[in-house]
Amino acid sequence: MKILIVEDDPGTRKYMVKAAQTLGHEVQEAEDGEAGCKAFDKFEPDIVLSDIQMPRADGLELLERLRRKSDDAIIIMTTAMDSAEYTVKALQLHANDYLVKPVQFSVLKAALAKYSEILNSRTKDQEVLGLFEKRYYRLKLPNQPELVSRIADRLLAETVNSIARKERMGVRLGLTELLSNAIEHGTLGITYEEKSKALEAGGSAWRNLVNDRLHSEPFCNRQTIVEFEMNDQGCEWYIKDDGEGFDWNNLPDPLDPENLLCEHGRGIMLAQLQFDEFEFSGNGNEVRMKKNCCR
Amino acid sequence: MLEPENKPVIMIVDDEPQNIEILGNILSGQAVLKVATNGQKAVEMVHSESIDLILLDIEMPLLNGYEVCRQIKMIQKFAAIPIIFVTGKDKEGDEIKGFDIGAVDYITKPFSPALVRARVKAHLALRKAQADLEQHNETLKSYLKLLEDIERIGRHDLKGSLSPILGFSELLLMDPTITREQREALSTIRSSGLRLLNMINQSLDLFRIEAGTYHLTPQPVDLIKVFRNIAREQESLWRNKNSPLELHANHGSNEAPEHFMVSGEEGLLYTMFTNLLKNAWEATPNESPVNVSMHFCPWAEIRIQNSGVVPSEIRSTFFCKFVTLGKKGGTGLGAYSAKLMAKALFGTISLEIIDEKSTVIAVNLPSYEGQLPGKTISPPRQSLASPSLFFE
Repeated sequence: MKILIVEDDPGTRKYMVKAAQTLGHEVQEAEDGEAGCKAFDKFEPDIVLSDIQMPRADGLELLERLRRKSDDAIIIMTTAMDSAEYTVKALQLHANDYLVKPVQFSVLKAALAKYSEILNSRTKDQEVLGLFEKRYYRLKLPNQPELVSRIADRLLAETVNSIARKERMGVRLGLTELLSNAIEHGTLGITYEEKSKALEAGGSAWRNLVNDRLHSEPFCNRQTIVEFEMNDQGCEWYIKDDGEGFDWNNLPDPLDPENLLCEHGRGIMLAQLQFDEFEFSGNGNEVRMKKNCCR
Repeated sequence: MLEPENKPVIMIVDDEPQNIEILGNILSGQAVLKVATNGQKAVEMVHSESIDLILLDIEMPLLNGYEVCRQIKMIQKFAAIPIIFVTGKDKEGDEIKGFDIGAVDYITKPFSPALVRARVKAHLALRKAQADLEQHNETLKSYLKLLEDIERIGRHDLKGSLSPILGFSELLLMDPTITREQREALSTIRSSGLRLLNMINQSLDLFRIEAGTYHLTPQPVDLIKVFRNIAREQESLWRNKNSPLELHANHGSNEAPEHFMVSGEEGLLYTMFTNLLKNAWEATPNESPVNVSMHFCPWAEIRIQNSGVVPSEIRSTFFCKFVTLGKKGGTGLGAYSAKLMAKALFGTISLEIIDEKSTVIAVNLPSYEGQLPGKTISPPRQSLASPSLFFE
């Protein structure tokens, strides 16, 4: 991946650059929003990691300018989270994610791995698929977390003319998050703590955990159903897993700055921002999302 | 608020010229007088003149005194003007009705000049004191805001500087070619950095709790696990004096306590009980354990008991900020922050001295019932609403 790092503090910048290089990415750096904007044009990065508070065109201004140039780049804000309002604003301005400073190497690694995977499974050639006007299908998903980003890509394939270009990346990330959620937390019953522990342990710990669940009761008998419907009103998705669900009545409100530091439900919180309608039901093992047609 | 000559402005509202004349004569020396002969005029004049006190007749045609009072009290910027009712009758019912809608006092006809002057003077003085306090409060609020800004900037810069310290030490530790000594040095740098980060984050949380803006996300937490982790982490503190942690949990059955579920945030609970247990371990004599007993009543009560006794001079202020006695390097923040955290967790905390022989800290917390979330019992006391230390 090509990664652009925009950060005004020289020490932090050096570290972020080194960390991304260590992970095998091609990296360029900029010391403020102004320089970041120029570097974006020349370098054409896949992912931008930008500080929110900076002199000379701060992170929010940079974000606005970059979104005018590209709807496809993944833009991740880094924030010391002392004024969470900025972060909420960034999400409203279509930042894709945020990382809390100081950004630990393991956190950066997990985020870059996730977004690389999503970008890599993207189908570029969609002109013909965009001609579809109506569509309905129902999928039965295997319990394989590594398939999620490709499934999300498939779900988005025919929506080219229905979902606006600037919204597509957000919807893609939202679908990915909710599908991961259904498979990992739902059918495989892996808790948030178990997942972070396994990812922290590194190596094959995560793979092993998933494999264990795939071959043990009751997880091996469960499945996830996805329904998709597109018509002239818009796109609607329905995901149902056989897991035990969760208490969806207490989902944190994504636009309340106080919630941004919550570790639980963070993914769902970001996902629900991407849709026009979003509703959990049942035990929390069913979710329905809708995106109105942009035409 | 005052006219140039520094005399207070009093408005007399009465439909009878005779009353106005009498009251005017009584008060002319001590105030600038404005007169309204009906209720409608009175309400208009409150807007146009700056009035310090109103003498208001109850019985007037059209708009009576009660109605005038109600209308003035409804306008926020005039609600603080003291209103004294004037009436010919001496009926207790009238008086109570007047007080109910916001009057501060009553004078009855026929007037006693000395009494009228004394009451008016007293209420003007009270109003002035109140206004002064309001202004002080505003000043304090602005100082607090300034302090918040300074603290926030401080934390931002501190966190920023921690990024390369934590990050590079983590990156370098991944290099397989470094020597053992280098590895140890890097590990020390990293763990110190993490401790510093933890301190900054905790101070941020405490600050929010103090300011009443902390947002709790309750989860089921197993306190047995929390206490075991604390004992492991603080081993150096109790190992040497041989005062181990003894856990007792009573579920109303004879089963060995493996879990004791409460509703809260693990981080906050961990920090709060670490503070309390550290105090207990420091206070308890050598060779005597620290006992923690837990039960549901129906919320969760956790009692931490040690065989030391809190000195009597600090008992009443035990949970106040900066209270410490005879402890080297004590900041006096341990018990104080524990109390703040208990409050943020919708719980309570109290100190008991038993027979001058042992000290018990009793913490009450919301319990967590059943396997599925969303079934917490209502907490013993919900008190997070009070906005901050200075303005309670």
